[in-house]
Amino acid sequence: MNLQLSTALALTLAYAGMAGLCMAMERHHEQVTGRRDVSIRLRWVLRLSAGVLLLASLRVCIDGWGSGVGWVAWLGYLTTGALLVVGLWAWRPRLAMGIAVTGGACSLLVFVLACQSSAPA
Amino acid sequence: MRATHTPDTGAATGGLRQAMAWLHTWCGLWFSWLLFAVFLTGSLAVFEEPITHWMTPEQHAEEAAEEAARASLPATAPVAGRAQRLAHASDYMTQHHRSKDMWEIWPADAEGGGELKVYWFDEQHLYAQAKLDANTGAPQPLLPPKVPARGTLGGQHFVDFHYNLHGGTLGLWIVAIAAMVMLLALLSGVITHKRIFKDFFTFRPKKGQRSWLDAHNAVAVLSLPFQFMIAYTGIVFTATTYLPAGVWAHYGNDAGVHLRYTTELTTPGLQPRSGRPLAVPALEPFAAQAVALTGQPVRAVVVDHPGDASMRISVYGWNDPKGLVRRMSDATGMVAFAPDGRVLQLRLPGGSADGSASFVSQVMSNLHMAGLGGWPMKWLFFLCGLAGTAMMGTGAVLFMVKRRNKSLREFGGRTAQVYRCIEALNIAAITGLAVACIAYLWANRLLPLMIDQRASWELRVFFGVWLVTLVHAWLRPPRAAWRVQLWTLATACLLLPLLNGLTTGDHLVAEMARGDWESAGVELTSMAFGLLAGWGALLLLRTGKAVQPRRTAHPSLGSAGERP
Amino acid sequence: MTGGPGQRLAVRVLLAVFAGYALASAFAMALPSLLPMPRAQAVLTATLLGFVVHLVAALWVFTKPDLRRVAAGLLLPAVLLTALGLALQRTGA
Repeated sequence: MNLQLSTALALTLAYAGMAGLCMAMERHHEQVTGRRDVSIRLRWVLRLSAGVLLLASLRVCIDGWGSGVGWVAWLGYLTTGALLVVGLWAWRPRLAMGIAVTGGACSLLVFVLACQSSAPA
Repeated sequence: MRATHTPDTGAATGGLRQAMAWLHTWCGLWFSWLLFAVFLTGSLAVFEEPITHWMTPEQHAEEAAEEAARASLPATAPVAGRAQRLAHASDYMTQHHRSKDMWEIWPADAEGGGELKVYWFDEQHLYAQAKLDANTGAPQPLLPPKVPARGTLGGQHFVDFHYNLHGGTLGLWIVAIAAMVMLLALLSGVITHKRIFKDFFTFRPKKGQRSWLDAHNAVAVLSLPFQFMIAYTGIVFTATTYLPAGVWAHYGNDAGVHLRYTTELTTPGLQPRSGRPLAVPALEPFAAQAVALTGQPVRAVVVDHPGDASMRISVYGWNDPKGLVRRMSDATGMVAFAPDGRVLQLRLPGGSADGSASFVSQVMSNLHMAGLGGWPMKWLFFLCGLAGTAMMGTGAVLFMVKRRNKSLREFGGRTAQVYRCIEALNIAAITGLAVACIAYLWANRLLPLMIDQRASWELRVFFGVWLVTLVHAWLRPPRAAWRVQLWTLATACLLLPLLNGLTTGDHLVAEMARGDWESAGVELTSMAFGLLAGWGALLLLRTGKAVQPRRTAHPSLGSAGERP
Repeated sequence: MTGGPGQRLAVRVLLAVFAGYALASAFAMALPSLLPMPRAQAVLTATLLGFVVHLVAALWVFTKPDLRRVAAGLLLPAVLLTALGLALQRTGA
């Protein structure tokens, strides 16, 4: 995987993960759906999904930049992703969540495929 | 006994959170202007080379020619080999500098060609050098540096301003003190922020003071790891300059103490001169062995105590840009040999031979300089640096927004005047500095090419424009000053490519077409800043319209001044 | 300690800056005596950590109302650590 693809993947996964964490919070959930009640189950589904996305982002960073630099890169993408979430959520919450869902799903798919192709047969 | 803790100015009163809020407010405010400048120029300094490239358009043709020449060099070109170069250098140094304490030979560039240079320390322990012909070993005259067509500091201005305000040692200390205060403000800010997780993604626009606080929290908290890292690594870059006590206690306190410490740090195990003579051996076998051990081509061969039995031969390698992307430390490969060929020390590229503290220090310096991770990392650092800049800016603005609604009378009778000062300083520090930065680029294109000390004149424009913005902010009402400076900033940033086109004939599309992404990047980023400034100016317009009617309609009502 | 609020604040700031620096310096002097690593590495380590000591000390100054206790809390350890560092001077690498 070249550095550009790593960048795109790491950023999208980080954004989607941060969006998941955001969506699990009542105040921001309401901004998207209009409903303030977030059931415990939904909250944990969102948080776990977010965790998976953020860990996938970490894995992309470590693959792309090596083990030390990878962590530094990951923190950078977490910051960028979170800032994007804050900015987009304040402007167009539903669009922000839409991008998170599609972007997260696509990048997760690419990530899994990339892992499979690099793993020994 | 009289209590010694009568309440005073608010410092260290109330609970921990309240005391930290006080500390955060005042540490933050008094240093926000300086830190904003340090952070904005620091963020720009990430792209020092592209900025310098944009600012030296006459050099482009020359750079391109050099690139082409290097790329087209046939593999079997008659370039004097390393062994020959090292032999020439060794002969020259034996002949002319036998008694020196250290020889430093740079035999070739990373591809094995280029210049052959030798260095040593003169009587004042400053570097002296000579250039030798690679084929004959004869000394060549050192040509005086070419007078550039366009005299400029280029991007180096932003680097220099960032770490010492163009103010030498005093400036260095001022920036370091500001960085320590910043760390204090970060710590106190985190301690006082009650809902740090609940408010993680919170930003409520169009709500005046509440929005400024949300923005301040968002940019600060979300980039917090970076902020702590960048401030701390910036200080410890030259740790023993600021905190020499450890060196003084254990190395003595005469004039040579720092040199002794540095020598022991970088060449551990180097014995003092023994007095027993030993001829300097042929250097090529050492170079070859080092290449085999580290995998890097030879950059420099250093001979400590040449001609003495305590002699030590160290070979340093050239870093490759690709490898640097994945390494935490930018330390090159290095092998230190005894004269009989024994390996005394081995440092693999990016590793450490001296010890963990040296390695940590090297990594921290590399982190601060964004030397790791390649171009994606540079952009991440740029973004986080701008987040830090925004953190300072929103903090300073928040201070005044809160007090415009209701004065907190912290300065007694003179509070109104102090607030007026702070308003002016906010404007000059934020939009004023930004205008000065873009004015620097405009000066690069508009100043006549052949004036004397052109680089100094560009700097004078930078500082002069900054001063003008301060005077402007002082003379005009704050709102008007913000508006004018924001529009000036937007215009100057957006029109940069046009300026370039009119003055040099080069333009954005041409740059992108020939793959000059450094120049294109500078102009595109400038335009992005222009859009940001324009958006700020429009927001100001909108809030101005919203505020005015309400004020005139209900003069008795205060604005919704919330206290966080 | 009497004196206007401005004076008290000035003293507090001076303590945070200078007494904190004294403590950080003392720490940088004492720690190399205790670290089991080559002298230059020990001095560098102690110097790097010294800044953290200064920060924590400065922060602490602004949490304690009683200025006398603050002064003692910084200067006494500073003196002790300085003495320790100078007594156990590292002479060789």
